Amino acid sequence: MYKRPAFHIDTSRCTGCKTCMIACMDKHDLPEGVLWRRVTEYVGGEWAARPDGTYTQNIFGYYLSIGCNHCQNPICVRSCPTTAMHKGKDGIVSVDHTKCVGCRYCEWGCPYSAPQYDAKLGKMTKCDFCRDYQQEGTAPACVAACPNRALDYGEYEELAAKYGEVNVIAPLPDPGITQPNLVITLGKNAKPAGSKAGKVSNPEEV
Amino acid sequence: MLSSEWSLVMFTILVQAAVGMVLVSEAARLCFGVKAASLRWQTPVACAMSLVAVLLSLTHLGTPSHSIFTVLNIGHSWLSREIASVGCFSGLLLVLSVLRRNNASIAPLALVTVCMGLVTVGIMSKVYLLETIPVWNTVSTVLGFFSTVLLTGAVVSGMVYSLEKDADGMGDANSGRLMGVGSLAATVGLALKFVSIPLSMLTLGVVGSTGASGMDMLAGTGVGILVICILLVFFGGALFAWSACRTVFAGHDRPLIGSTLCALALVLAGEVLSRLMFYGSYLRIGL
Repeated sequence: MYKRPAFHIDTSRCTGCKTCMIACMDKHDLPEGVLWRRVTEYVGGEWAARPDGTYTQNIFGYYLSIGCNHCQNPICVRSCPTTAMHKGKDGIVSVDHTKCVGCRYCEWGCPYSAPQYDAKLGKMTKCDFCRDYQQEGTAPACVAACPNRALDYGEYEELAAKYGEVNVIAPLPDPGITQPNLVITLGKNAKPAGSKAGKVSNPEEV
Repeated sequence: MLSSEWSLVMFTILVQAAVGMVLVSEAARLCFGVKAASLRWQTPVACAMSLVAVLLSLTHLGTPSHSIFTVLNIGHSWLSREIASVGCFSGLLLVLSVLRRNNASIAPLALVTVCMGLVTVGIMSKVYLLETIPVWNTVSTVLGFFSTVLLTGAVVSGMVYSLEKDADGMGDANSGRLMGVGSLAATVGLALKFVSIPLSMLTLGVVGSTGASGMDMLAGTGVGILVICILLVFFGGALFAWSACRTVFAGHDRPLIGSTLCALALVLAGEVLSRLMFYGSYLRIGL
C-alpha cells in the first residue's frame, strides 16, 4: 500500500501523442468530454531583431501529461461539502459515489482540473491511480501505454530519489497550495512556475 | 462573460435579499419603534424567499437526492457551512413567522435571526474566496455580497411594505420610519457597490494558462453589460432612495408604490446581470 502515490512526467520525452489520455479513457470507459488525464501543450516565443538587422526566434513548446496528483493537501477534499471526495489510507484521492451530490465545487477549486463531472452520472469522477491494476501489480493504464516511457508511477519518496524533487513547471500552479505528489523531469525548454512566456495552445482538447 | 449558472445566481441574490429584508425590518422594529403590526408581511416573505432559494439551489446539483450529505464536511468545507447556515437562517425565519402570527414577544429571537443572516452572507462570501481563483479571492466579493444585502434587501422590503399598505387600503404613521431605514440601507448598499466594482476590476488583470486575462473576457460585450449593470443599479437605488425620502420628508402615510416597483425592477435586473458577470469571470490558476 502506498503512503504517497505519485506520478512522474519527463517533459523532455513527452511528444504529446496523447496515448496516455486514450488509454485512460479506454480503461475506465469514460464518456466523451470526461478526461482523467489531459495532455497540455504549452507554447510561446517570438521573433526578435538582432543588432545586425537579421531576426532570430525563441519559439518553444512542451507537453505536460497531468492526471490527479493525489495531493497531500488536496483542495478538492477540503472543499467537498459531502466528504465524498476523500483521501484513502493508500493516499489515493477518490470519490465516494454513494455521497457525491454533483455540486462541482471540487472542480472549481482544483488547479490541475483533476475532478471531472460526468453529466450522465450527475456526479464527479476522477483518476483513481488504477487501483485495481495496482492490486494486480500492474502499472496504471496511462503509464503502461506511454510509448516514450515519459510517465512513471510509484511511491513519492522513491520517485523523488530517482528523478529529483522538482514538482512544478509553467503553467502549473504554486505547489504550496495543494502539495501535489508529482515529480517532473524538466526538458531544455522548461519555463519556471509563474512564467508568462507561453500559453496553453490546446484548451479545447483539455 | 455571462455565466449560465442561473440557479446559483438566483440562490445567492434571494438569500442576500432575504437577509437584507430582515435586517431593515428588524432595525425599523427594534431601533425605531415601528410597530410589529405594520410589518406583518416582512418575515413571511423573507422566509418564502430563502426557502425558494434553497429549492433553486437543488437544481444546480447533479444528484439532488444526495443533498442530505452536504453538511457532513462542516469542519472543513465552507460550502458545507454555507448550506448549514442558510438552513438555520431559513428555519429561524420560519419560527419567527409562526411566533409573530401568535403575537408573541420575540425581540431576542429576531436579533438572533438578523445575526444569523449576516453570518450566512459572510460564510457565503467565503465559499468564493478560493486561493485558486484570484478573480474571486478578493474583498470585492465580500463587499459585493453585502451591498446586495443592503440595497436589494431594502428595496424588496420597501416593495413588500408598499404592497401591504396598498392591500390594507389605509395609511400608517410608521411609513416614514420604515422607508427612512430602507433609504439609509439602500444608500449604504449603493456606496458599497461602487467600491466593490472598481476593486473587482483590479483583479481582472490575472492571466490564465490560456493567456487570456479577466480583462480579455470583459473586453467587447462585457464592457457594455458592465455599464448597463452600473446604470441599472444606480438608477434603481437612487429612485428608491428618492421615493423613500419623499415618504419621510413629505410626511406621506403610504409609500409611493409605482416608483418603488420601478426601483425594484431596475435593482433586480442590475443585480442579476452583475451576478451573471461574477460567475462568468471564473478564471482559475493552473490548468
